[in-house]
Order: sequence, then C-alpha cells, then structure tokens
Amino acid sequence: MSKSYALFLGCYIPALQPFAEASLRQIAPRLNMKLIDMKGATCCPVPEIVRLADHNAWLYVSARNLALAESLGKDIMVVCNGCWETLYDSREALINNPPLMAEVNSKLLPLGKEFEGKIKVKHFLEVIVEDIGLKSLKTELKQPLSKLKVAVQYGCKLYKSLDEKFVSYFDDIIQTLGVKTVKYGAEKLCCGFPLSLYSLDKAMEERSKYKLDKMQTAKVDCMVTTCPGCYDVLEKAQLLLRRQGIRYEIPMLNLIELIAISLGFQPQEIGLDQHRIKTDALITKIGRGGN
Amino acid sequence: MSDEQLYPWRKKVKTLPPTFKNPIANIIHLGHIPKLVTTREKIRETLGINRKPPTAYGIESAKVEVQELIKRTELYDKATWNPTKEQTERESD
Amino acid sequence: MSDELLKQKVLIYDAEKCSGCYYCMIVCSFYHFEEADLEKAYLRVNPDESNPTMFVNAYCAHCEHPFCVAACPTDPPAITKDDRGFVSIDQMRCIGCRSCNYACPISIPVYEDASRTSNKCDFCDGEPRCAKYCSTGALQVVSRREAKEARG
Repeated sequence: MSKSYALFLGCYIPALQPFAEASLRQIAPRLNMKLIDMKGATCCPVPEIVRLADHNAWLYVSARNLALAESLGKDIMVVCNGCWETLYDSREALINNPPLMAEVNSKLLPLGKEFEGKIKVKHFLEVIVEDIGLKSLKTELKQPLSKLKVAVQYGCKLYKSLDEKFVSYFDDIIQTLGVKTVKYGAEKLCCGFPLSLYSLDKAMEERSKYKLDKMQTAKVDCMVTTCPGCYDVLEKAQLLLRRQGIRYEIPMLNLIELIAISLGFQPQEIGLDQHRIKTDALITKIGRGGN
Repeated sequence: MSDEQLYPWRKKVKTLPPTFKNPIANIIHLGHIPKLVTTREKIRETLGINRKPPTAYGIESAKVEVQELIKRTELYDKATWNPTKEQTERESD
Repeated sequence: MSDELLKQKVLIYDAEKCSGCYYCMIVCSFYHFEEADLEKAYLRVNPDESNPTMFVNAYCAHCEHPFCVAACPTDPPAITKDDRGFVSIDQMRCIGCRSCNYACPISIPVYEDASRTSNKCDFCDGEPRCAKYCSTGALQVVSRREAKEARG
C-alpha cells in the first residue's frame, strides 16, 4: 500500500531547481509514495532571515503552512533542509506550548485555518529511510553508477537532527545507490549562505570558493545535496566566479535527481541537460553506466 | 540596558539589515523568495510539470493570506518603512 | 563549586559540529544592534589556522570569579554578576576605560566607538540567541555541571 504525504516544495525547488521537483514526481509512484500538493503553500518562511527579523511573523506563516497540511490529513514531506528546520521547530514550539498555539490559531482562524498539531513534519531522507526503506529502494534500482564520483554536501541543518541521524541517512542512501563518495575534506563546511547576509564577497571567498576548490582537487563528477539553499549558493558561486575567470564546471545535483537517475530515468526526462552548470560530461558518464 | 531606557526620547527607527530587505519584501509580495521567471516556467513545462507550481506562485489568495498574517506583526512596518517617503510626508505637513 | 553554582547556565561549543556558518555572530549582532555585522557580535568564531574547515569560538564563560568585574574601576562597579551568574555591563555606569577589555583572558568585552563604552555578552537575559538559532547545534546552553563533565 502506498504511503501518502502532503508535499511541501518550498521556494527554491519550484522556482530555481524544477529538475528536483520533476524527479520527485517521477520517482514517487515507483517508490510507492503518493504526493498530495499543498495548494497555496508559501515560503516556509526562511529561518535565517524571517525568524531573526520577527519571530511572530515566522511562526504565523509557518503555522499557516502546517495548517494546510493538517487540512489534508497527511504528514508533511519536506524536500528542503531550511524548510524542515522551520516547520519542525515551529511545530515543536506550538505543540509544547498550548497558550502559544491558541494565540497563533487566533491569527489563523480569520483565514479559515487552524493547526492542532495532529500531523508530523518529515524530511525527504527520513521518508526514504524510515517509511519506504532502503531495501525497497534497492529493488527498484536500474542504472548502475558505481564509478560515478560524487562530493556530498549535507547542509548545516542535517547536523541538527536527533543524533545527526539525517547525515547517516544521507550516507546510507548514497551507499544504496552504489555511488562512490569522494572525501574532499570540507564536507561539513557551510556553503556560505548565512555569511552572505553579512558580506557576499566574504561568503564567496571563504566558504563557497574554498569548498569548490576542494571538490575540484578531488576530481569529482558532481556534487550532491538535499539542501536547495546550498545548491543555489554553490551554483551562483560558480557562475559569479566564472566572470573572474575561475572555471569549475562542477555539476550540482539534488539527491532526488540522483535517485531518479539510479531508478533508470533518462537524464533528459528530469531536465539534467537544462542545468545552469554544464552537465554534458556527467550525462555521458551516466550513459556509460558511470564508467 | 535597552535603547529605550537609555534614550527615552529617541524615536524608534524600524529598520532591517539591507541583506534582509529583499527576501522579506519578496515574501510579502510573492509569498516566496525567488521570482519564478518565464524561462524557468518553460523548463517546468518541458519537464511535464505545471508551468506554475500549486503554491503561492500560482495561487493569488495565498499571497494575500501571508500579507494578512505579516501585517499583524512588526515585520510589515519594518519591511515597508521608507525613509524618503516619511521625509516627504513630514515636509508636506 | 557549590551546587547552586553548578546549576547556572553557560554556553558550550562543539567544534566537531560547527560548520563555520557564522550565523551565531549575525544573530548576536542583530539581537543587540539590529544589524547583520560580524564585527558587532559578542562572540567570535575564527577558522583554525592549521585546518580552515575547523573553527574556534571565543564566547563569554560568565566566570565564577570574573576578571572583568575585578578590573572595573567604577564605584559602584559597571560590571556585575547577577544571581543567575550572568556578567553584564551597565552602560550608564561604564566610563569606557577599557580595563575589562585587557583584564579578560580572551578579550570578550569590546569597546564601542559609538557609545564610548565597553560591551559584552549579556547571555540575552537567560536565553542566548546564538545557541537558540545555531545552524548545526554546535552551540548549546547547558548547566555548569554538564559543561564541566563535557570538558572532562
């Protein structure tokens, strides 16, 4: 029996990385997942900016998103690390504080919405490992990628999960796909997004460029992440540094895209050929079975 | 000690760091941070997914709801505070 | 240390967990000055020179016997340690002599040109924002007892 989830896409995936959304919608039936769109969902809102600028605004908007999923009667599946932090933290804050929940609901009721805390917030990694199971994922694999060398970018928020379990889930999935992970020595280092709130140049130089240099030295075929924020920052960094004459051409992939390829979807079907960073070499390598 | 205690007569200026302004303005006006540009809409179409996702990008009422919620907080004033506008209003009084 | 003292809250930093995002500094400066400015933060994260992917965080330990309090020349002192153990500077009493800046072994109090006084971590009145919003959970609020045990 397939499991149903309220799908929370966030901002970056639908607007900037539709490849991940297309991959997700393609792989869902194969992995026995039923995704129900949360019609009218908005920005989670982004924890680094909105939560800091105004805690109430952050709580009200995220509670609205939680209420949308609750009206569908399904747990939320989140495909973005930042959205996971916002929705998970705001849910925890609300269910552990009934007066706060009542106050937030008083703001939601005029909009015809209410959140009672009946649903859970699940990260995509959690859904794959805990609900779908790595065995089911393995039986569906069609495309061997054993020679593909990938650099992993976990994203800060994964370390915030209980006992850092999301980090090990990420590794487990990569291992199941049979992809070769290259240790490039800066896996834990931040992509530079929070630092860009202070200075984009500093973030680019000390974080993004450092990471990209390390990946380049390790001669990776692509970078894989579950964080659309990291994806966006490192993609933009490559495009901006190109103007200064520094070329990397490290293709960026969301883990969902890598899963879709492993399940046998053609790179063109999921738009791998339409990335802003060239993926020709990667596509050729995938065509040769990762060799 | 807070600024209000230190300078009781000083008018509280509601402002945000410059790097926060655009993302917050976009959340208020679009319901999301990045704009969904036409080229991306076309890519979405070629990938077989809806041109506009079923979020605030495609649903006008969602934006209005987010605006309603943010208007009930101090963030709305902070994000929409315009020093030049206030100056002109003061001069015209 | 007395039991009362061991119950006091302090910050603890796990370098193994820190990703060097510097968000704690942005949060700190925003909370105190409504700016996203690393220079204005009351804690300082710096990369380890030998390994730029590891970081060192210098933050106020709200010491049992604070050097900054001992060094403060004003009477009554501008720097005090309250019942909860939080050491803070009273801006109305501080004369900006910078004695505390030099007395602190890790130079936590910093002199502010704008106010001509010294400033330091005030533990956000019991709920430090840096730890609350830390991206990876590397900074945490624990009791002095837990901090001592963790340090071994």
